[in-house]
Amino acid sequence: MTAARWRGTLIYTGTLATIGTLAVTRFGPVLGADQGAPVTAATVTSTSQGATTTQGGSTTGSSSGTTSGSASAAPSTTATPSPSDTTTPAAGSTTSSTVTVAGGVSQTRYGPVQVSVTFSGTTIVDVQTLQSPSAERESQQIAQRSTPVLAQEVLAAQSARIDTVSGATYTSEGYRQSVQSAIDQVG
Amino acid sequence: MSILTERSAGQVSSDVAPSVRRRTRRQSPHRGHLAVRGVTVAGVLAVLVFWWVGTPPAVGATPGGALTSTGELAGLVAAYLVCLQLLLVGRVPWFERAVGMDRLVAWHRSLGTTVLLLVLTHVALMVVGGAMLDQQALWPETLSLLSTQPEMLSALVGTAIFLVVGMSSARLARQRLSYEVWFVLHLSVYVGIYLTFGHQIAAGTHFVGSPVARAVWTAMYVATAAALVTWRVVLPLLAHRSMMLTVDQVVPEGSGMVSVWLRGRHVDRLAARGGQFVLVRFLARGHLWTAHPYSLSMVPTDEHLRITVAALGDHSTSTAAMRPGTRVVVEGPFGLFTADQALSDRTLLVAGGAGIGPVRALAEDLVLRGHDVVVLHRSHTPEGLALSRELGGAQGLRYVPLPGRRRELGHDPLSPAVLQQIVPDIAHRDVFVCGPEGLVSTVVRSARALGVPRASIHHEELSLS
Repeated sequence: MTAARWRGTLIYTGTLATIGTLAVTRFGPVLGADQGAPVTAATVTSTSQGATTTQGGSTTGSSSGTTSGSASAAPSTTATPSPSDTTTPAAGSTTSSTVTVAGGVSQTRYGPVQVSVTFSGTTIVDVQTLQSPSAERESQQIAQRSTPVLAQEVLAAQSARIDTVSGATYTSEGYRQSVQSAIDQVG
Repeated sequence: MSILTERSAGQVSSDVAPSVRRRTRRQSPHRGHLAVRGVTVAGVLAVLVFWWVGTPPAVGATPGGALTSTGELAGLVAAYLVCLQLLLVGRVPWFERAVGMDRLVAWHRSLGTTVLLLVLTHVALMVVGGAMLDQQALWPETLSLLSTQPEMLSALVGTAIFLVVGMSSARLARQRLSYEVWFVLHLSVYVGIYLTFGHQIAAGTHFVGSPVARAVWTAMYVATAAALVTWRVVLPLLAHRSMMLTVDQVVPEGSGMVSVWLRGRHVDRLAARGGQFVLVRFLARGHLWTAHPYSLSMVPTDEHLRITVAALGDHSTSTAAMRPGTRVVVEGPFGLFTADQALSDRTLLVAGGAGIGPVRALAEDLVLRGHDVVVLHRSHTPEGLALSRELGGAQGLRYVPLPGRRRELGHDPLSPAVLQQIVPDIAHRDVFVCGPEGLVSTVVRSARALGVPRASIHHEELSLS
């Protein structure tokens, strides 16, 4: 009877040990190597890449790309300089009065989210996703599924006040912040 | 009495056939145990592999991410074990034959502890890991998890139910709670399981992006539910409809024990063997919601079924007052405490208290098979020797009543020395014991001391809940 008495706890201990071992095997190399430092590095590079492509797309000064890239560590404050760069020339070349602004990078638990918002006058006419969580296959799938919906919501609401897409809570929240920062930049 | 003596005469010749069957069946209990354990472990491994494949190392790049993902794994394993737990007590014939209900229930109970601890681990890791990822304190993180993640409120309620059910099943609580209260609490776990299912599918990172994983996981739950409905509800009800059992009469057997005779159509279709038990549910006020395990105290005839009950709990006491004509639903038979377990054709049966019921039925079966049977019957008083009339004087059976308290006798009649005197050839017999826990452990110890091999000692727990 004494064996059966603690059997449940023993099974739990065994299971926990297995789970722990599995987690350490899976994450040990990444975790042990250098505590998050490479992650930030990875984020920065990906951000600058993302930024450059956008700026390339909207044909504005390439220097601003580097600014926003290096700024990504603290998106909210640094978002301001890069847009002023972007907006002014775009507003200057006001041929179509269409402006594309890159929003700030918002970090979610699954990875960075960044969008670019295209304004025609004060109307939002397009939202493109520059970055979305891609570390995991699931995150990628979630982003692929949710970002089109979120873009539609922004176009419909003409603001960043949009509903969360179910199953993509964090991506939605990051998306919202990035859109808001883009809107803030245009004023 | 009559049944036992009448049938024993003509059956001696069929000695050879059973011995062949015994040899082939003998292996099965151990193989069965291994098979069920194998299935359990294989399932856990499958869950681990599923997690491994769906979790790229990058997830664990931050400590918070690693903790959250590990928490998810703990949750996945817990969910799988919950389904397994239900199947173990789902009266699935394959499990019953392979392991036997008493051990299935014991495993179910052990796994309950495991599941409860895993659920708590899951919650703790999700909150702590999430707090690290979001750089928040624990309490705000808990609130934000509850408010932002889908299906989290129902999961919270479900987890609370798990906790209540788990705690009400702890040994301390079981001593204080009546069976009926515990049983109703235990039923609520189905609500808990239902409520916690949603958040797995809607918020679990392994399911949100993958329709296949979602389908497989849902299928696991649906299959479990289907098994429960089939074997715990539909089949017993169908059997009830064809047998239409009612209480025929209630016969006092002395010192608080009563025999309840049930009458119905084609009762022999149950194919119950001596030593097995059935779950009995009286369709009467106060009995509807609970089914109790009672051993058959004779091999059923085509019309009659008999259980012998000691007035131990609320339920068994009021069973003694059951009116003839009351409808009864019977599930079963269950249990591996049968003649198939015997390795040789010489057996010693030891009974104490309510254990005489199954021992009486088992003795009947063994005598029919031509075994040489000795029955030792322990009781505090001579009046407590229920059913002794039926056992004394039966052909092919030696019945030894052992009444008296140890204090008054001045010795323990089940000690090795006394046992050796009563049954000199005990080392060459199969020993079947049924009775209170203390008696069972005494007999097992004595028998081992007298050289009975472990494999030849057979006992089954009387309490199942």
